[in-house]
Amino acid sequence: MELLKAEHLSFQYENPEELPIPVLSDISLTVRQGEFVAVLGHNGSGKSTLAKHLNAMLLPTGGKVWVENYDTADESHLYDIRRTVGMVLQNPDNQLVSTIVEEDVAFGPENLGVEPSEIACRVNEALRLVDMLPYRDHAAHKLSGGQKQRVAIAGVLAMHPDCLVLDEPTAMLDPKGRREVMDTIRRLNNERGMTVVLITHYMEEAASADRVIVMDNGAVVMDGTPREVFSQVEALREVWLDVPQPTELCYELRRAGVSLPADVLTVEDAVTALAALWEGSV
Amino acid sequence: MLSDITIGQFFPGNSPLHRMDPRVKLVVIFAYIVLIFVPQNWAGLGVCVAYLLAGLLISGLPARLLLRSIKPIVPLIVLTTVLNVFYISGGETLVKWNFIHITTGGVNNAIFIAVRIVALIMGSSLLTYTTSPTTLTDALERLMSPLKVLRINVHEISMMMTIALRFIPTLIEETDKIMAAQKARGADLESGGLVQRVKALVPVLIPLFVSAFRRACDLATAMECRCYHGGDGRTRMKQMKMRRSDGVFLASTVLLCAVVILLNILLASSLA
Amino acid sequence: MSVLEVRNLSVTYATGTPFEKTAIQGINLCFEQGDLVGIIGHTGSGKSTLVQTLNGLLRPTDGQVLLDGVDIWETPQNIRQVRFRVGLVFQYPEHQLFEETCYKDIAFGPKNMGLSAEEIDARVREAAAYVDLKPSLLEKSPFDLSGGEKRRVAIAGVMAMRPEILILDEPTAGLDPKGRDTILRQIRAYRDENHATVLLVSHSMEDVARVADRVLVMDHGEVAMYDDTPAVFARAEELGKRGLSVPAVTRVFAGLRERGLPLPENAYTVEQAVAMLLPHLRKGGDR
Repeated sequence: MELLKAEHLSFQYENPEELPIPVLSDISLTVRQGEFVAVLGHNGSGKSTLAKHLNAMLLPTGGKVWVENYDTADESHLYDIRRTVGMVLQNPDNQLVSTIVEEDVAFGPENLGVEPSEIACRVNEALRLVDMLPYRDHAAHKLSGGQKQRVAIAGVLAMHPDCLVLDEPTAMLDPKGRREVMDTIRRLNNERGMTVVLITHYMEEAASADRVIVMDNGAVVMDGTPREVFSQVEALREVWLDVPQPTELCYELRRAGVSLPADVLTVEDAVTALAALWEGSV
Repeated sequence: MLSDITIGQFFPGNSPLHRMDPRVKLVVIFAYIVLIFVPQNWAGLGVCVAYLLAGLLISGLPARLLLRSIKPIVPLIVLTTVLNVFYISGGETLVKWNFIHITTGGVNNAIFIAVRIVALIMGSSLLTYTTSPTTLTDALERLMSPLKVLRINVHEISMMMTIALRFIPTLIEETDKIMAAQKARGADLESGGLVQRVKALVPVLIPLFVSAFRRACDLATAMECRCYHGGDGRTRMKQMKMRRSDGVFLASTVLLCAVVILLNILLASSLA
Repeated sequence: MSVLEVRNLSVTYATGTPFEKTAIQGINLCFEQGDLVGIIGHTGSGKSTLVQTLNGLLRPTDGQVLLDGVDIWETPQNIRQVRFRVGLVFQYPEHQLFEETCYKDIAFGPKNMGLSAEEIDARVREAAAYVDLKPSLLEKSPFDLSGGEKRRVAIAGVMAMRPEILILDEPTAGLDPKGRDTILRQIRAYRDENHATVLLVSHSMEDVARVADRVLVMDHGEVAMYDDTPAVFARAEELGKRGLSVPAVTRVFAGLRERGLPLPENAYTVEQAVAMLLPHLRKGGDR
């Protein structure tokens, strides 16, 4: 089932006295229930602006965005849309509203007018899902970055969304925090079937998605499985992106005339391919 | 360092004081603050202090926490004590040298007022230590709800307080960081006269404001993403229910008031 | 003589309170002129504390920091002079920008040094050139720039003091690959042109592997490893045990060796790996 759908989506910022600044141009894409989609792009490629269209934080200046059956431009369903598409932002410090963890997680359902006893259940469940239940009565500002970000995810989960949109959730975290958050996101996708749209510029994170969308200059320039996308090393370099190191290694070797497959993505892939070649050559 | 300040710190727990209806706590603390200025004699003040200690005992918190809450106002206490010792006279003379004239009445009065201030601060600290900031602002919102008649948006006031309490530690940490960064560029924040020092703060204050605005923007986005739309139709996870223990607590406070006032009258008349 | 030396350095926070915490303990280190040292370790490993001690922002509880052989706390009144010589760029340095124009902001450090107007001007333009900042941007407000540009202005603000030792705490945090490459290149250029010592605190093993001559690994407030870059990455397993992620190519090499391939050394950058693998594979390719 299609959960999110953009049809010829365009967006431009009005700029008084001068021409409007185009940010997104003619984007059409769909995200199906249960998919894990990574959106890659350098800073300023329009990926965050796209994310903000998925929960009606921004409205298209051209085209349409659909969330389930709601048109995001339809104000009467604004809260249905935002409840359906939960959004997690980059800075973990700036999205927690309350001092105490459980009170923060309760914020969303409270806004939705959920029954108090039901809120308590949801808070419990959400904190359990992100492995933060033992911290429920801790002060939010004393947690580590990764823990704060997991609380932010719990705060969104407590609204019972069908889809999570995460806008560079690991950009400000250390490697440990990044791992915690990525593990949480992957688990939610695998075990709970949660639809995930992950905006990122870390190639390793994108490599673990089902599907990678690459953006440049406000448009979608590539859309495919990680293997399909990352095998196009030159095209990615053209839009200022890296590829995972194992892919780069095999790409460079291929350019030097070694016959290796083009779709190497992980460390294991590279080891298997190189070992096979080596053993074959001895 | 700035991060040593413990404004509105909360120590989670499960004591009867923690579980008490926060509205009752607010009413009681308000009564207590007024009451602490009523006693005219040691007996009355003693009853108030005893009440405070009972509260501490019930809360199950270590006494040193309350002692620590006094730390920031020690200079104030010292100042008032010294002033009282020197300027209030009465009773027997203890020291007389040049213009200095210390009397038993002065010393007595100084200690009395110091105890009063300490009891005041400790009482309010006990409230913030046992009540989470959000619960506190929630309770305030509900106690102030009659003001809605006057078209005062009570919910917004309480939401602002919640956010302020949440971000105070974050901004204090940020100030520390910005100060260190500017010092690394040779900023001199410690020497010079008043004007110079105020000027030297510009490189700290501007980034701090910029950062506060950036955080405010982010937070507003995050709140909108979580369907925030003001107080209408909002529910609360934590319900506030008056229980028997709350009634007992309220009654004991009323009793306390009566005892202190009675002591005032009795001791005043016995002296007369 | 080492340009910067650390002897038996310890820093304890909140001494004498229940919150007492030892951040670094009994550290001995030498940094040579012209070295580019990568400093890695977990959050809380003491690396931030260490760098703040090196330029006198923190006073050690015990031990000494010697700059050109002189204890920096010998005359505490002169600690500002030390901060001009040991420049420290904090994490997210763009959060410290405050002046109306980029020019004035970069000039803040040199002005605090009490330099003449001409000297300040020269320093500002030189620093702007190090970070590839177009001269037209100098008169703009720093708050109108893009994220990457802001970061470069802030780094220029420290470079303008022309420090002999430049310390950067995670200068590439949150940048995209392009912004990251630009800044790493500029840092190396600063080292080359001034023959300065650069200490680069980073969470990214890939970054450190690419630019550092030497690597310092901090763990639990102590020095776990301090050696030339190849020597540190040769101990990939130990790095892994300390919970530090080694570059993916290093893991590829570890995997190949596990399969019994006779690779003599560890690779830690893609170029190296290509160079080391190619001779063996070419042979196979020809057949």
